[in-house]
Amino acid sequence: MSREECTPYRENLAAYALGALDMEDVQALETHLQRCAGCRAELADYRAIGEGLLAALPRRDPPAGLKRRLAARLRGSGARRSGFSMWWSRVVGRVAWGQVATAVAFVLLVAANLLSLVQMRELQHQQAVLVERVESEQVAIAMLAYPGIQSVPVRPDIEGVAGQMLVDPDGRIATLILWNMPRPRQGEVYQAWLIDEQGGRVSGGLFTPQEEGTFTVVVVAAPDPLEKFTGLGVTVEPQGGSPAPTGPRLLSVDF
Amino acid sequence: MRRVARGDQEAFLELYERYAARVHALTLRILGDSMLAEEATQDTFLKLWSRARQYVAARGSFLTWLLTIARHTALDRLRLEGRRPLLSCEDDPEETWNSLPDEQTASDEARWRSLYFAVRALPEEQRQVIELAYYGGLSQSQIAEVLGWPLGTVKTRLRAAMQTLRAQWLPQKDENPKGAL
Ligand SMILES: [Zn+2]
Repeated sequence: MSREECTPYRENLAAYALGALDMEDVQALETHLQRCAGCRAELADYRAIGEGLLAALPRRDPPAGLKRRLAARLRGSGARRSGFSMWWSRVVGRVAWGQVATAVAFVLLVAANLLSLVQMRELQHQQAVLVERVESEQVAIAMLAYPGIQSVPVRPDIEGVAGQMLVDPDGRIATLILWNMPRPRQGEVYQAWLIDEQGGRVSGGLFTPQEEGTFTVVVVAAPDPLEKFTGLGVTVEPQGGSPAPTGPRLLSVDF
Repeated sequence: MRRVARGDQEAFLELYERYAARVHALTLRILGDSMLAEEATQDTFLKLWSRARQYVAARGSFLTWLLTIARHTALDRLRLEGRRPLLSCEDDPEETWNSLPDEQTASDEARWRSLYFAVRALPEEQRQVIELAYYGGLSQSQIAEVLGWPLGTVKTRLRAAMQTLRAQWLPQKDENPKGAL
């Protein structure tokens, strides 16, 4: 890779390593990084500094009561762990830990932590913040890098469309990556539906592909952990969405 | 760590004993409020407890992993509370950089301490940018807004700061650094 070609990207590497690069520049840089070992090496240095900055603060002891409270919480929760632990041990036994910081961030943000103090309201708020803050492409990239994410093929009902869905069964967010989705007609929008075990449909959000012939990334936010759902469908709905599916189905996914 | 992943509470509390002050330093730096920081520290360790299986030793240091959790937990909390990130944090480093349990820890501590002082030695306007980005979770354009500087200035200062830290703090490599292939 020539030095001239790298110049605009090199200028962004340090900000990217600190998570401070503005969204609009992230994708171009990530594409360049895939091809350019020189920039990857420089990025690794900045990442090392970022990791150093996590610990480069004088130690501060938390109040003594905190340890007692933690111990009390663990005693009260021992039996609740095994639910998803088998799933995790399978995952971790198979795949190595992905080092991409965004992936860690993503999973920590969205995982419905069984033991978390965060109450439902806060969790929903966090999801809203997450969806707002992180552009869907970044979520998809993060999920791709994260071990244990399941990739499920999309079954299109219309010709030319293809795609994959990335699912963290334990979490509440999945991403749908679609190729060649046609743009909806004026006054229409696409709506994703999560299908629960009883066959009920829960809205997973609205979306409109931006450009025909390219890929569309949709973040689907579920009200419950995704393991509670058996699949997903996308239908055409009037602008603003519907409380239940009314239009023709464009595609489906079986989890 | 393996014991924690299997659900060993005693092992968990040992990890707490060892790392709580590091985690708390970070959550306190990000949140600037002792109550919120305490909650973020607690949430971090609860996440460690429930997510211990995610950690695979070969791929990086445990402390980095734990502190990454702590950073995101605290930044989420910062946003949830709608708080402004701290511009800077004045504390007395002398009394707190001490008590080094063993040699490995001592050498790590020495490296972090040197990074801490390298950051403090940056020109004020560069240090602010680094701190708002990393401990404030802001993007460059948000930093420009907060500080009332042109975006280009923020970018230049962030990059200059990181290049200084790279030159001063990272071990020197033999190869020709500036991208010559
Ligand atoms: Zn390059």
